[in-house]
Formats: sequence, C-alpha cells, structure tokens
Amino acid sequence: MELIWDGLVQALHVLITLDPTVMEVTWLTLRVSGTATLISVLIGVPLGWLLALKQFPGRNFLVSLANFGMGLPPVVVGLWVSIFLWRSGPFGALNIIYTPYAIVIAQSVIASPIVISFTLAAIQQIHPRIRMQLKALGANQMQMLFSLVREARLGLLAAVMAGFGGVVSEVGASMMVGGNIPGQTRVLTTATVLEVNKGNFDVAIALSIILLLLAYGVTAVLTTMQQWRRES
Amino acid sequence: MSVAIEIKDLTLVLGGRTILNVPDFQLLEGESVSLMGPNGAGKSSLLFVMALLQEPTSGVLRYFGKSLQQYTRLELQRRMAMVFQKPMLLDLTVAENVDLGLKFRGINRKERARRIKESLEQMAVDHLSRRRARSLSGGEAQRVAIAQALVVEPEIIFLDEPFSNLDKEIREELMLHIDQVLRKKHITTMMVTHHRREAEIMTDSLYWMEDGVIISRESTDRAAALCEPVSYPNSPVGKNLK
Repeated sequence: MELIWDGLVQALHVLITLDPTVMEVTWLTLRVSGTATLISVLIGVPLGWLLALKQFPGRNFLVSLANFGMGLPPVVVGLWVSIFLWRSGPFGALNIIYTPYAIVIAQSVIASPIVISFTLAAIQQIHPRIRMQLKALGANQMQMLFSLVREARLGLLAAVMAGFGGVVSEVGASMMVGGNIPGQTRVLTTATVLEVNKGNFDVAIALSIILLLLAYGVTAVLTTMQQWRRES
Repeated sequence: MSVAIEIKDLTLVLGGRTILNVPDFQLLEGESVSLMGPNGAGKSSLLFVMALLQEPTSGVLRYFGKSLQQYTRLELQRRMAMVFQKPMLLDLTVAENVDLGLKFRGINRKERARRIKESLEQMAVDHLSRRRARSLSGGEAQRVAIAQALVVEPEIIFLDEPFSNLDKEIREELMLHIDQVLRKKHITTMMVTHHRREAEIMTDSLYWMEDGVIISRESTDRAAALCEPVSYPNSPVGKNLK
C-alpha cells in the first residue's frame, strides 16, 4: 500500500511542479504517438474505404491480413523495423534508427491495420442504398468518399481512438527502434520500464498514472467529438 | 415535344435471369408516365437503368437526343433526380440532407439557403429543418426525400413507389401536392407504382410491365380520377397547396 501511496504522491508532485524531464517525455510521447496515429489514419482510411467498397481479386486476403494485423505484436514490429533501419539494413542510409522518426514508423505499422479494419467495418455498415442515393444526388467520386466518411464518422473516430490507444501503450517497438535514449527517444512506456528495472517503483507508478491520464485525455476529446452531433 | 430518354434493345440480365427486355421506349420532355405491373416485373430495374444507377447488359440509351457517350455520367446524373421507395437519408439534419445535391453541384451558399428554404416549405417540412433526419417518421422522411430531389431542379425525376410506405391519408395529400409541383415546373416524370389512382392522377400515360417486358400502354384519365378529390384542409401539406 505504501508503494502505491508513494507513487500517487510522486505523480501528484510531478504534475504540480511540472517536472521538466517528465514533461519532456510526456510531450515526446504525445508527439510520436499522435503523428503515428495521423499517418495511420491517412493510410488506413482510404485503404479501409477501398476494401469496403471495391471488389477485386485478393480482396479477401487483404481484409484477413488487415484483421490479423490488428494483433501484431509490437516486439515483432520493432524487430522488423529495426532490421530495415539498421545501418546495414535496406534503409540504413536514412540514419533514423534510435530517433523519434523510427518510433513513428514502427507505431504507424502497428496502428495502420487497426485503422484499416475499423474503417472497413464502419463503411460496410452503411446501407448500400445510401451509396446509390449519393450517386443519384450527383456526387462525384471525391464527394462520395467524403459523404461516406462523414456518415461513418462514429466508427472512424473509434478507429482513431483504437489506433492511438494501441500505439501510446506499446513498449516493445519503441524500445527496440528508439533505444530509450533520455531526452531523445524516451517515451512514457519505455521510461516506466526503465524505472521498474531500476527499482524506482514510485516513479514508475507516477509515470504510469501520467500515461493513463494522457491516454484518457486524448480519448475523452475524441469521444466528445464522436458523441457531439448525437446529442443535438 | 422532344425526346428526353430513348431506349433501344435494352436488356438487363442478372444471375442468368433476364430482368429487362425493352426493344423500344421513349420518354418525352415534360411527359409524365407511370410503370405498373406485378412484383418482379422489372419496373424498378427499368427506372434504375434509366436513372443511370444500374448498368444494363446491352442496349442503347439516348438522353435529350444525344447518346450516352456524348455526356459524362455525372453531367447527366445532375440533370436528373430520384426518389426511392424507402427514403435513404444520411445521419445529418434535414436541411443538411436537402443541401447535399446542391453542394455536389457547387451552388453558392446564399442560393443554396434560398432553395433549401423554398423546397422545405413546399413540402411542408420547414419546421423540421434542424431535426436529425433519422428521427423523422416515415411520412416526414419521404417528404424530405422528395424535397431533396426537387431542390436540385431536375429536368427528369424518377419516383420509385414514393408513397408506398405512407398511410392512405398522407399518401393522397402528398400525391396531389407533388403532382401540382411537378406539373408547375414541367418536370419530366417517370413513376413506379402499384396504385392505379396514383398513376391516373400523377401521370399522363401508364405502361404495364410483366417479366421485364413492356406489354401495353394506355392514356390515363386524370379528370375522372380527380372527380372525387380527397381534401384534407387541416393537413400541413394541404395548407401549402398553391
């Protein structure tokens, strides 16, 4: 109990004093996971839309691949992204291993299948006659896409929340491709692991509480956006 | 009158079954016709093909004297409108739904606002403009769907059993009202219906279809059908009749 209490006091202290080191880690976490989520949305929404509305050979295989990808182990993603980004790897010349860019890439790989699958489900739930109605109203391809995205916005915001939740909480990939370098690639999850390994459980608890608050804060904002129009 | 839509040797085959077989059909500009026939006769399929919502298996379609290839599909689609049997409104407000077709056509905000107001008033649903479309009753939703079709000022309107989900009283008043609006605006109309009275009041001629084939055509007797008009002085649409 004392350990938990110490952790809560430490978390409160960090939050009140705005501890610069922890704030830096928190800000980096938000930037890295936010960017990865944005990239996964830019990749995932059009691909999910395509898989939902178009019929082509291999479509079912791609759908099953996206569904399988939702459970990709972050450690496996971290390993493969590392292999590609190591100096000896195919993209070694970019020299971005152990930088926030590497974490963004790994997290985008983790989040994209989640966004694709959620988008696919959200678009497929729209009644097929809605598409016909939009066509009859004179929508071009882009207008059709935007109208369907708007119609599926509840599901799409769920996709964003699931994507962000998936990457902000992962540790394996960030550790492997980022290296947990203080001031450079240390994010809340990797910092928590480090503090546990050092035996600083109160600090680890404080970091975990900040991580939970961050994840909840972002989810709360997205939920408010999602439910906004439902109440009007 | 010039020809709005001309069909030659049209077939539609789905799953090995011939849904439509129409060797020759013409819809004149300003004309209003109805399609009747038993379920599965191909009435709605013909409507969907003519509205460019269903690709035919073979045949030639000409619009306003030109072949289909001389237009972009979108260009033609934007000269027509469709009202479905079951209104398919998006999860938006009533006004936003009616606005969709205008937005797609790139009409400016001021003109859109004017037309939406006029169209909603015309269908006596202006008081619902800020309501979520999904919360409307069947009759209200169908009126909104008709407002959505009319607001784009189509040259041709396709009505696929537009009154079938409405009860008798609403059906009668809405039919008389829409008939007035369509005639006033000289909109070429093609309607699928199961009710001879609807066909007689709203259209000049009636085509009978069976097994995908048009088997007869007759002129309707609108005057006779209107001999016993049904009046609903207290209804919201009735008040707006001009």
